[in-house]
Formats: sequence, structure tokens, C-alpha cells
Amino acid sequence: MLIQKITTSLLVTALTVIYVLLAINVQRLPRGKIIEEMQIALPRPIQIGLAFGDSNLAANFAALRALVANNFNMNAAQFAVLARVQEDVSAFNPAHEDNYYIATAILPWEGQLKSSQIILQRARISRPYDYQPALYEAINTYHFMKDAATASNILITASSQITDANNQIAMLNLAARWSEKGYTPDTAEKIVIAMAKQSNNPEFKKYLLIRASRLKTLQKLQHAALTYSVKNKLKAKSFNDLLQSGLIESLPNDPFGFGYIIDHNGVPQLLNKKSPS
Amino acid sequence: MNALIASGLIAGLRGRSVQAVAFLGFLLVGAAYLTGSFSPRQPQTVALDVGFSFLRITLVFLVLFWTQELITKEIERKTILFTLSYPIARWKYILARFFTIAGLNLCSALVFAGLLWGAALLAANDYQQQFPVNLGLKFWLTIGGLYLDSMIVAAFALWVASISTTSIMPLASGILFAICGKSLGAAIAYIEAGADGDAVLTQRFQPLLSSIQYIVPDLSRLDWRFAALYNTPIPHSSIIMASAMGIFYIMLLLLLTSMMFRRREMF
Repeated sequence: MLIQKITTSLLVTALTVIYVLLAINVQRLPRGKIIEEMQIALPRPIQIGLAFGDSNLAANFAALRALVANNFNMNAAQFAVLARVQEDVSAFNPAHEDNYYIATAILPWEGQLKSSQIILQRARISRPYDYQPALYEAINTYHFMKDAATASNILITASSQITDANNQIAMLNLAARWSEKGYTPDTAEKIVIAMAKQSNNPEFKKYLLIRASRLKTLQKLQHAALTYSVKNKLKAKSFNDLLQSGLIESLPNDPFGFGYIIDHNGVPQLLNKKSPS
Repeated sequence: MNALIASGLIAGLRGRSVQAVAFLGFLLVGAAYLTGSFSPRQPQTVALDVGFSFLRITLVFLVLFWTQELITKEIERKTILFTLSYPIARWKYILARFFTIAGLNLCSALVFAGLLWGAALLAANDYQQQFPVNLGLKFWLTIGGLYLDSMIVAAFALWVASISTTSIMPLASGILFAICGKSLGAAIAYIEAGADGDAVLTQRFQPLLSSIQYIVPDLSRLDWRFAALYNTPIPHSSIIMASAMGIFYIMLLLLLTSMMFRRREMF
């Protein structure tokens, strides 16, 4: 009896020690890469089945997925999946307010205009009391497709469904303005500045790309200046210091022509006007 | 029959599995409230929408477990023999059990609906959404539809229990029936919309789905939540027709169950 008790205790102790040692080692193991978001869109029948046959629940699950996805690091293929997921939400519940709102805020700016328009059309039909789906659909048509006439027609058609008199008048006014003036780039530029980085307008897209490359150069210069100060225990006074230390390959060239400056803290900054020569 | 209903009510509340499902229901209402906080523009709508879905799942599971407790287990343990030894017709026994489940389910539906009502109200926090939900008559109409939906599942499970020789059958087939009935509307809509351009799928499944509607009722027709979520009107004719379809399907199933149960050999 005593021997049995001792044996059991020893066994428990030995197993505990082995487990703890293994757990410590497992903790040190490197973790695998976290699965990226928006890799797959399940077929609709499967989504319905997983939601216990409830299409509204399937819509909410998918909308939640679209809502929590981190859009900043997504590539074109992932945006295509996001568009598919949001189209599914719209098929399950076309009146889903969050879905059409997220769709119009993200999808057309990331090359998924068609999906965005489908979602907005469905929302417009199923939400006759809501002027916004029609307005966004018209804006997308106006801006991305440069089709002021069709955009104007969308607003006119939608205005007849809108129950609120003020919204109805506002939509008709906008429709009339677009119908008269056609497409004007200044309106498009405002929308681009307000909503996203990517644009269908070639001029503005070029402008943004130049801005992006300018900021990227600044980042590189700031990194070089930091390395210089750590290495030499001295702040860089000019870009020549960085060049002579081999931290940059050439003197910075600003595509806008304004140039860069190193401030009194030794940190490179952007110049937003031309320096007197 | 009244005594049978009374004893059934007590037995129904005692079941551990039923208590577990009811507890899960409470948790799900809480989860529905939390999902509202993920919505940037319509927290109350999302909380209510998810809540309706969870409520339906809970009610369906509750009626299936009650069928399990009140019929299947009685047959399995042979305790049904004591009940049937009394001078009571078998169809009365079936009806009594069905009304017991209907009563218990009604109480559960009202309790969960009350909780969901509160959860939807609280989900707004300080945010006033542009298009408010309807927590009045349309909310209770939706609850009524979900209740009828779950009672159809209960009638089906009761029918399966009357012919089944294994105890798990009513539960498993009831779940399958609930999923099929509920997804039927979405499946038909999917096929009618062209099944993502898959012509073969459309051709193959369209006749099948059309026929299936005569066997499994389209339970999505009893889902009137859009009225509560988006404050949209629902034609009275749709409500009346769908409810009548559901009630007559229940009556048909109860009749079949009584017939099967009368012939069943219990020994």
C-alpha cells in the first residue's frame, strides 16, 4: 500500500517536472506567421449553413469580418476578397447599413468599383428611406467613371424614392448641377482628398505618388541622420555630412523642386517653398 | 390531459440539458448586445439583428431538448407505459406533450424577448443612430414569427420521435430540418439570382428546390425582422399567409404523429 502511494507520488512528480520543462521549451519556440486577413471568401451556401440557415446572421458575421479587417496592409488580391465578402453581405441582407458605408469608403478606391456599385444599388432599392446609398452610387459614377449624365440620372431616379422632402430637393439640385456642368476635376479632387489615397484621376494620382515618394525620401534622410548622430556622437549639419559618411548615395532631389533642410536638431525636414538662391 | 400537461411542464423545467440551453440563451443575448458595439453606424440594429438570430437558435434547441426529455426519453426508459396504462387516448398524449412544449417555449420566448428588448435599448449607449429600430409592435411581431418557426420544428421533432427507434434521431433530424427550412429562402434566392453564374448548378437545383418547398416549409417566410430592424412595412397578406402555412403544417404533422404513435409497438 505504502509502496503504491510512493510510486504514484513519484510518477506524478516526474510527469509534472517533465511537463514544466517541456512547457518552458515550447514557450521559447518561434511562432509561425500569423495568417493574413481576407485570404478567402467562403461560398454563400456554406456561409448560410454555418449561420444555422439564417441569412441575416451570415450577413452579420461577414460584415463583422469586413469591419475588423486591417485595410492598411492589404494587397489588391485581398481587396478583391474583401469586395466578395461585402457583396455576400449585401446578398444576404441588402439593407445592411454598415456594409454599404464601409464598401463605399474602401472598395472603389482600391479598384473594386463594380462591387461597390452593386452593394450600393442593392442598398438603394432596399432602403427607400435612406438617401445615402443613391448619393454614394452617383458620386462613384461621377468620379470614377467620369459619367456626369448617368450620375445625374441616378440622383433623379433616387430622389423619387426618397421620403424626406429636403433630401429630395438637395439631390435634385446636385443632379441639375452635374447635368449642366458635366465632369469637373476640382470636385473630383475634393472627394479624393477627403476619402482616399488612390484615384482614378491620372493627374491627381501622379500628384499623390510624387507626394508619397517625397515623404519616402524624407524618411530615408531622417534614418540616415539618426544613424550619423549615433555613429559620430554629432548632429549632421548638412546633407554633405551624410553623403561623405556613405549613409546616402546622392544629395536628395525633390520632385516638387522645394528641397529639404536639416533643422537645428539635425533632423531633415521638408521645405514647402523654394529657398532664395 | 390537463394533468399530463402539468406533469410535462414540471418535467420540462427539470431537464439539465434544457437548463443548459436556457443558460446559453442568456449568454447569447449578452453576446448580441456586445456585437452592437462593433457597428459604426447602427449599433441597435446590429444588436437586435444578431439577437433575433440567437433567439431563434435558442428556441429551436429548447424545443428539441424538450422533445427529447418529454417523449424520446420516456419511450427509451419505458416510463411511457405507465402513462399509457391510464385510460387516455394516444393522440391526447401527443397533443398534451405538444401543448406542454408550446407553453414552455412561449414562456422562454417571452423571457428572452424581454432581455433582447433591453439589450437593444442599451446597445445605443449615447449614440443616436440615424434610422432607429422599432421596438414596439414590429418587434413583438418578429418574436411571434420566430416562436411559430420553432413550434414547426417542435412538431417535426415530435413526428420523428413517434417513429424513431434511436433517441438521438429527433434531435439530429430536428436540427437538420431547422437549418433546411430556414435556409430554403436564401437558397432559392441564390439559385434564382444565377448561383454566381453557375448555369449547371441552377439547372440542377432549381427543380429540386421548387419540389422541396412542398415537403419542408420555407421558414424564412416567418422571419419578419426587417420590419423591426428597418421600420419597413410588411404586407398583412404575407404575415397571414405565412402564419397559416405554418399552423397548417403543424396540424398536419400532429395528425401524422398521432397516427404513427397509435400504431407504434411500445413493448
